[in-house]
Amino acid sequence: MTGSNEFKLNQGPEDSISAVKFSPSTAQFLLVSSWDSTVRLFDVSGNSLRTKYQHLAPVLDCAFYDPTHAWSGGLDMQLKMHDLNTGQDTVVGSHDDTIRCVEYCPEVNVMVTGSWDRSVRLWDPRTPCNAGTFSQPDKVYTLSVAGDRLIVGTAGRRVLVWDLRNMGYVQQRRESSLKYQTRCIRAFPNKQGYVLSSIEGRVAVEYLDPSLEVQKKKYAFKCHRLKENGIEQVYPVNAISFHSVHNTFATGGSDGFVNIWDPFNKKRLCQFHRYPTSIASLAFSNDGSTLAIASSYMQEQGDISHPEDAIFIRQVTDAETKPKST
Amino acid sequence: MAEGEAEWELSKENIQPLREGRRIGALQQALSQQDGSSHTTVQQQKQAFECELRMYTGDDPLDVWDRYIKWTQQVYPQGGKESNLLVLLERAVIAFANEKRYHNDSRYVNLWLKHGENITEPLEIYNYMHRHGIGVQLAAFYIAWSEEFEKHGNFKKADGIYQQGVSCGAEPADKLHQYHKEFQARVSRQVMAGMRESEQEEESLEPTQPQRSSLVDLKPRGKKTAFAPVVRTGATVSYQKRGLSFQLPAAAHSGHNSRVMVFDENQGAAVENCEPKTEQWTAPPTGRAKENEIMPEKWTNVKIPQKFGSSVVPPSAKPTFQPFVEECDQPPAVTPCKINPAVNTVLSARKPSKEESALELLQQQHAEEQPKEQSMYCKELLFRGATEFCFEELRAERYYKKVSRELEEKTAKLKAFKEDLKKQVEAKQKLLHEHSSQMDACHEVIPPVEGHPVQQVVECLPEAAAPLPVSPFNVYDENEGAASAGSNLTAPNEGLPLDKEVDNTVNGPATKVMPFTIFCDSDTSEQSQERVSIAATSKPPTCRSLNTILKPIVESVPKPEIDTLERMKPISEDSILGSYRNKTLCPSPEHTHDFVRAVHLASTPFSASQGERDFSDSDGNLSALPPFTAVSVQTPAVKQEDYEMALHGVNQLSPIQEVSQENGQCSSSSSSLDGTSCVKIMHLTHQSEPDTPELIHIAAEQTAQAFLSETEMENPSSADSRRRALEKLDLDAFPNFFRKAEPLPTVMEGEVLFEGDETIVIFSKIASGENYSVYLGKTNINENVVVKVDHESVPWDFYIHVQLRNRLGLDSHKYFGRKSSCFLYKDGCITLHWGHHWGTLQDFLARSTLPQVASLVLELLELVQQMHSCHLLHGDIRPGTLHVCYRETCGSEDSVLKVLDFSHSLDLDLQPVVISTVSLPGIQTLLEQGVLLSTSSPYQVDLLGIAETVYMMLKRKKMKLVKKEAEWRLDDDLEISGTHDAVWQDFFKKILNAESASSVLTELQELLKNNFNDCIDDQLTSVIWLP
Repeated sequence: MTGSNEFKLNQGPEDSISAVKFSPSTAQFLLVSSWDSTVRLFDVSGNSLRTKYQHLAPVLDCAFYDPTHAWSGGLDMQLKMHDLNTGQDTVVGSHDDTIRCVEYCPEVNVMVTGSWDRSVRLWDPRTPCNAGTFSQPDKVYTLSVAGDRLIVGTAGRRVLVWDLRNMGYVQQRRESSLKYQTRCIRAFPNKQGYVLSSIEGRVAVEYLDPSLEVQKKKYAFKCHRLKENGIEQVYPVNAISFHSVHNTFATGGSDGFVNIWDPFNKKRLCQFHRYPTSIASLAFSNDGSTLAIASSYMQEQGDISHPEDAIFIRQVTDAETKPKST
Repeated sequence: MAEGEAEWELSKENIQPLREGRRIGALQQALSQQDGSSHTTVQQQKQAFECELRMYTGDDPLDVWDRYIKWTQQVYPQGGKESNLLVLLERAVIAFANEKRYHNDSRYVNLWLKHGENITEPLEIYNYMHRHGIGVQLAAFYIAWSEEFEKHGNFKKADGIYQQGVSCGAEPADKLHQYHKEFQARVSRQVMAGMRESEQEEESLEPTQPQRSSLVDLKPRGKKTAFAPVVRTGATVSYQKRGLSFQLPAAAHSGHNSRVMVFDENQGAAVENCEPKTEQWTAPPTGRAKENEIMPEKWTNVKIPQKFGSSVVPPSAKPTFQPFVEECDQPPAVTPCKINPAVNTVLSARKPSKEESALELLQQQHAEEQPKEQSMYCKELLFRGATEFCFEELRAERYYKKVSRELEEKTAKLKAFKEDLKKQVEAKQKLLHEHSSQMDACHEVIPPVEGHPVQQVVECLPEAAAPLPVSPFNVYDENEGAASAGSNLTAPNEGLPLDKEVDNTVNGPATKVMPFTIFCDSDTSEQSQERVSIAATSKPPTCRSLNTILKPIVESVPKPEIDTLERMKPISEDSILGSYRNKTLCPSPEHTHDFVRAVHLASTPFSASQGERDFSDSDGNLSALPPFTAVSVQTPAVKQEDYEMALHGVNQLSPIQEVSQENGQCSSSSSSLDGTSCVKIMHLTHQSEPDTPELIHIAAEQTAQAFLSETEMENPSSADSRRRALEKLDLDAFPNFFRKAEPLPTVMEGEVLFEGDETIVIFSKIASGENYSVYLGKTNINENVVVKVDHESVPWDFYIHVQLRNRLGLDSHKYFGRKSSCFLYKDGCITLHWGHHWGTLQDFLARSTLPQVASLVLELLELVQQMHSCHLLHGDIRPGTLHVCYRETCGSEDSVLKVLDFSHSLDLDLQPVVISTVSLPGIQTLLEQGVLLSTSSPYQVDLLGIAETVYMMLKRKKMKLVKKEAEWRLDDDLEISGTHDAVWQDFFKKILNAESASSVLTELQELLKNNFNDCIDDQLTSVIWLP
């Protein structure tokens, strides 16, 4: 199944994978958080596990602050900073409930965490310490950083756009343009807008600029649906990752497929083969040459037996990721 | 309390009445929390309910809903949208619409009735319920239904409902009857009242005095602004009867405008069957009949067509059409949410979805034939409650459940284990009790401690303790552990003859209380040896029964048993009793400062040392003494971390550092942390040799470092360890500290040195060492200055000097000079000490004789004591490192002797881990001689230095020591002046055999003062001269 341009990582997590993130400086290192309460650092080029560290409970998200520092949080409500050089763990702070997302905003040099305690907290990575708590209308399910703006997706299909430089008020309050629960939001690398995926096989492309002209450009489309015996099976779209150069993006669904989309021409660029189980997380490397695919069952249909969780590393070409010039 | 009451008094209008009443506590809480959106406890409870809804696996899922809804009603007294009560009720009734077993469950029916109260057309709900047999066995249903009709003024139907309820045998029957009777009474009262009124009105045609009736509504007067009429009787009274229908007044007032024929629905209904029709309901009626709602418009423009006469035609008996139920193409599962459209209308592109009601949903359930779409996830779980969940939340719940289940199992297991042990202990105690009367002799006879059970207890320890770190709850308590250990000891003997049991039970209580001491207590082993020997040699004739037990041991065990005990002793002492007992946690326990620090060390959580792990791993192989115990005994706990780190250094090598492109970042990141040894070293190597192949280099450094740490030979006065120590400090913050990027300038005798603002002429080299040399110089303003040139770029001398000044304050001037400054170069540093220096004591001794040794010795003693008092160790006291100053110019306060060279000094505050003083100069020989033990306090090094120096001053030759009668003495007998020989003898005896450095220094000062008081004084000034 895996060709020459793709391989499976050895020594993967022992339980479901919650997030994969590439190092900001190189495509060599991949950070992986998992339900087995660990965060692992893989050497992708060597296909080996470099290091791992423990949380008290399953880890739901992780992020690089710089190439030497990993941040992570999960069900233990603690935000940990781990120095990959020294192996030193620092508990930076905590939320009142599970930490669902951890992101880094390089423009403002701040770490952002979103939690089910209905808040987003900012953290100064240099000290490191808490730099503010901002309550959200509902449980935070996903968040993404676009330049100095923060896009937060919560339960109840709400989307909030914050200005990280001025967190005094919500810049924009939106309702998801999709009808069902928000699964993932990722901002365009060009900071113009974001892509939002829902639990029922749909993806919306939205723009931050509230002017009518720009807003007209937004759209949504169906994807990750399979037809079987005349019934259309609709799968959640769990993961989105942008190609930093081309502004194209990959989506991964619970159907096990990964699609790459060209948002400008509204075209699908390619679809990879079907992976053994749901795609839980996707990550393009910083240079866009490599795509990490976490195929891991997320108990969408309950705690049942399922194919083995695995992380696949795929070398992608321009043909697969570059928008076709018309 | 009063405040809470006030709260509730102030917001009565915001509290919806509840049939079952409200708990005042919940009410107050809810009212006091109105302000913020952060009702964290409420949110948490809500979340808990939501979780329970999804995770419930029992056989009564309705229970959760019921509790959740009741809780919601209590917590949200205002109702309102945020309570989600309507949504909850709707979801709840739909969820169990097909569950026949709940159809006559009062809780479920109550949910329906509550749902009915909250919608506009409850009659449809009741119809639906009746049709589907929901609540038909319950009186409450009929009562609610009937009351609804009564509200509408349809008494006949209301009565019919009661009758139907009775005929269906609804329970409780008496309640239904009572309500029925009350209803009938109300109706008859109403009718009577109506009759009386009409009579009165007939009478009132005659002019009688109209009477004002109290508490009635009045018809307002005035067109634009309404005000109450002055005359408040008769026609001005608005006849609105409460509790009964509002159609009635029309009938009651028919007398007034009798010409207008008013349609009475009852007349039409009269033809109808009282029995409610059972329509073919495909769905429960909608709560909000949208298609029938009139959009709000300007009322002033509306004209109602007025027609008189018989224009009002009674409608045909009852519409027979089916209630319209909207068709929906999408299964609605959207969580309701409130978005203020005013903020950004343009952004809300999706059209607001149609509101769906419970009935429509149910209808879909019925109409569901072949869904075109299938959601490939557990949709019903995500959207079951009032709020939505995501997969991760569900999974987290499962995880928590699993964890708690595991915990419970563990607790249960432990409990069972504990009970089992308790029983055993009880049994033993019983036995003991029974036999204690018969076996008085047993008290004197201590039972043999067999190697086997003892070993077993030791083995069982890690096992028993194992669950502790895993389980977050404190399930396991020490007593249990003790009990288990105690009874384990006796357990293996259960099957043995009764007599033997007695012995064990004698032992039982003791072991139960202090299970561990028995193994490490040397008494026990002695006793047991005694026992064995007793048994072997003299078989006690009194204890006939004991004989039989002891026999097998006597025959086979004695030797190996003693062996076992001996072998086990060190382990039990080190590991069981706590391996820290023997550790010297503080360098000098006499100093309160050290002691306090040691307490801190002892209380910090201790990561198991290598030795301990060895022990726990090899519980089967007890005889093997952990190889590291000896080391760790001398190692304070703080060191352990570094030590371990260094041991595993190769593994902990930064996982990303090998990549050369990231090296820069690595080193920068590591320097930002207060470092641990490995990384620091790597950091340094990067700096100094950036071009060498790093990987190999690092590895080499690592292993070297690991080796060093492993053997505990790391030199505390080595440049590296000092550098590391100093890296924790901000040296730049010290005054007179300067950093220079250039390499160290060459310093030669007779040359001029430019340091900062100072121009220094170097006169002579007065001392030199391995890496440093000391020069005497003069500044351009003719101040004497001592220049110390160090070839290591560690400003250690300066640091110590600053510390002395900081810790001693002005006292430091006396012995350590007033002013110093430091210039740190790339490859070395220069430290300047100002003062009226003459030279070293060594030079001084070479040129002149000292008439007053005692004064100098006194100064020396005080000097060292001062250093020690602030936890600094000189480490190299000898005439070559002591400086002599002019007394005349220094002022009388200053001493003649000064210490300016701290090359071998140690700061025990900064480097609390100094154990081995091996590195200090001259120590090796002392160690070899045995004068100094490797374990002795580092302060003793200085004492020996003093002794050496004093001896030099007295005899001008090196000191030789011999050991006589366990005491160190001088090889020769001091014969100097004759008069004070005895004093000096005493002096050396004390200083060489000192127990504690600080007390000895005071003692010696006393000694000298007492014996030389006549000559120690200001005469010293005359002693010192310029050569």
